[in-house]
Amino acid sequence: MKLKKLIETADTLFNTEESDRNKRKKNIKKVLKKLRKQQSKLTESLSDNEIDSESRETIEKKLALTKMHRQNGVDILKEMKAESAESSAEESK
Amino acid sequence: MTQKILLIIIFSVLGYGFWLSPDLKEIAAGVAIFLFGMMSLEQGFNVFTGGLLEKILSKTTDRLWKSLSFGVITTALMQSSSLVSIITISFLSAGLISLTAGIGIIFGANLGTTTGAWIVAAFGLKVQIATYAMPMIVFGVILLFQKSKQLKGIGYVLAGLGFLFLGIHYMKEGFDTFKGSIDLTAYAVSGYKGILLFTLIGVVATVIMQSSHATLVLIITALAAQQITYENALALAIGANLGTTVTAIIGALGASVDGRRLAGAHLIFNVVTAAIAIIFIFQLTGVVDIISEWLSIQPDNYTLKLAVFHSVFNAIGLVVMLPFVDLLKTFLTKVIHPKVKTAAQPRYLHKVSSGIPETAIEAVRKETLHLYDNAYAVIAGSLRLHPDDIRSDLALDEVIKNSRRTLPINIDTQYNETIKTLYSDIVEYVSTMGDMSASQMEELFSYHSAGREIVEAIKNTKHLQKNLDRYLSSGNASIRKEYNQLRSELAEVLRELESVRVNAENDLPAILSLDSLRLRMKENDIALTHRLEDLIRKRKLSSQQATSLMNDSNYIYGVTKNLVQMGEILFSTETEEVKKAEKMLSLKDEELDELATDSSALSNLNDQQRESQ
Repeated sequence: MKLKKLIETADTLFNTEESDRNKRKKNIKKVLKKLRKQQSKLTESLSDNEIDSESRETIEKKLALTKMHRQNGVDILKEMKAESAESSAEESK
Repeated sequence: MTQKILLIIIFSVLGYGFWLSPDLKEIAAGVAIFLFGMMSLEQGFNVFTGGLLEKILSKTTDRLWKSLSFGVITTALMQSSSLVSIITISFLSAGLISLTAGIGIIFGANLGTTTGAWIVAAFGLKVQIATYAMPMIVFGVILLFQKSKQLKGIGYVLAGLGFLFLGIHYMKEGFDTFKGSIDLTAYAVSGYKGILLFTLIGVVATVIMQSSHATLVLIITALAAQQITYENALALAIGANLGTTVTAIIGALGASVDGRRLAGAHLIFNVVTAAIAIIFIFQLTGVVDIISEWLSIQPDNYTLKLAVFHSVFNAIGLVVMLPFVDLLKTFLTKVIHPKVKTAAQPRYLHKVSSGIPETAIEAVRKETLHLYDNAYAVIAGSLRLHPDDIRSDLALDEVIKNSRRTLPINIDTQYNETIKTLYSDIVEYVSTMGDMSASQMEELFSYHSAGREIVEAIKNTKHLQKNLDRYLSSGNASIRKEYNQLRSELAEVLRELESVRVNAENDLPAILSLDSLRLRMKENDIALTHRLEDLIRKRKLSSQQATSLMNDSNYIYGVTKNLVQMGEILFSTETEEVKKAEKMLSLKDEELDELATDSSALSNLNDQQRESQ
């Protein structure tokens, strides 16, 4: 491990707020990964030509919801990144 | 009763022995202190098992060699095969590990426990361990008074080790002075007769002391004081190994069927190993001599040679039994059957799992899912549908049209028989659970509230059933159609819940998947309002029928809400942190309302277009 990364890791360990944020980020990324998997599964089901229109409509709705969830996740991650940058800027002052 | 008689016999024999020889008091006190040390050590390790050990256990037992290594290492470190066995049985009972993994751990524990003989023979008898014992006990007891759970745990481990050392010291001293008055070797029996007799003595001693470790220490100290012959000591060690299975069998009595199968595997392993050791004892002593020479152990150092023998015969048992693990599993599955249980009887709440928070919490989750399965059947029955038909791939309209159930179930009877008693059992089990951290309490509380949601869902279904029965046989086709629509909506909720549950097991997000149900619930509500307005306007429904329909639609809404909330808690197998992250991403009620209104407007427009065409 590079010295800079080592210092960053040690800093994160002592900074509880940052450490909490990192944990939350990690968990959100995990959920986003699951959502990606779900999205590809739903898209795959849509490509099946044999499904009836009602099922197609249901899958399309689920797909739309999944996309909204992913967007929510990305937005939250952006917010966290901004918070993180803000707090490190305050610390450096 | 038998236990009381046994206790009186033991007390009488010991009392008579103490009266005959004061040295026996020292030996017996040594054993008692040693056993007390073992208990203290187990108590200490129990504090630390509330996390790390469980995590390692549940994640590193996917392969047989991994579970085997886990058994060897943890038993060697904790010096207690009983603790490892108990943890394994409770994990197995909670369904957290497979039977094969459990068998691997128990086999490994048998080898790991042999390190105890090495430690005592190599250090316990050579070093003045009593000098280390005193400070350990003092520091250990001081730590016991601390508030921190971890420090208390360290205190128990330290004091436990101290008492173990002190016990060994007293046993050693006792035998040293004992040999001045009585020579026990005069009672030595040679040949196979002696081997069988001393094996039996080893079994009995271990059953009484409930610890093969204590028996082995007693054998080693007696052997060091030349109070027993080497040959008889080997037989006693075989007996100690055999006797330890009794502890495991007693431990498995309150366990699940897999726990009992595991105890069976333990028994078979030890019986096979003991049989091999007894039959080939003279050949094995030859092997021990060769290994001892290779390890530079003096030919007259019988205590270390006993440790070599103990390791060799357990290793042979492992080599012989390992290729047959799958066969053993099949045999045990055939021989030990699960007790036939009714839907109301708990399947995961076993006494053995309540002591360890992780397994107890998982048992509560699984039992609450069992409660949900029962509720699923009750709700399906009240819709006059069969649960299997709802779970099938058939179109729900077809399922409702060709419903196999013509008569509704008696929901009160079903509630009392399959829901109420099971829910009470869960509540009672939760009340017996021991020390837990704040996050564990939070998790447990969430499962408790999931149970409450299930009960509420049944109550809402009960309200719905009265009108459902009345209007499904009505002469008014419009009201019949509307009630069939309600049946279809609730059946769809049940079907979707099953799909979310299965997807969650395949690593898809459970909580977020339930958003589609929450949306559907709102869409159905808006759609019904539109239909009702239309039906009233066209005078197809009376005002009383319309009111009933609105009320019952509310009950459906209630049942769905209850079940969605239950699903959010129970279906995800992720940690509480990941569940929280999922909830952060889920849509807010206002967002869902907006979506439902848009979608309803769109479908209304489509309907109008279809009508005009």
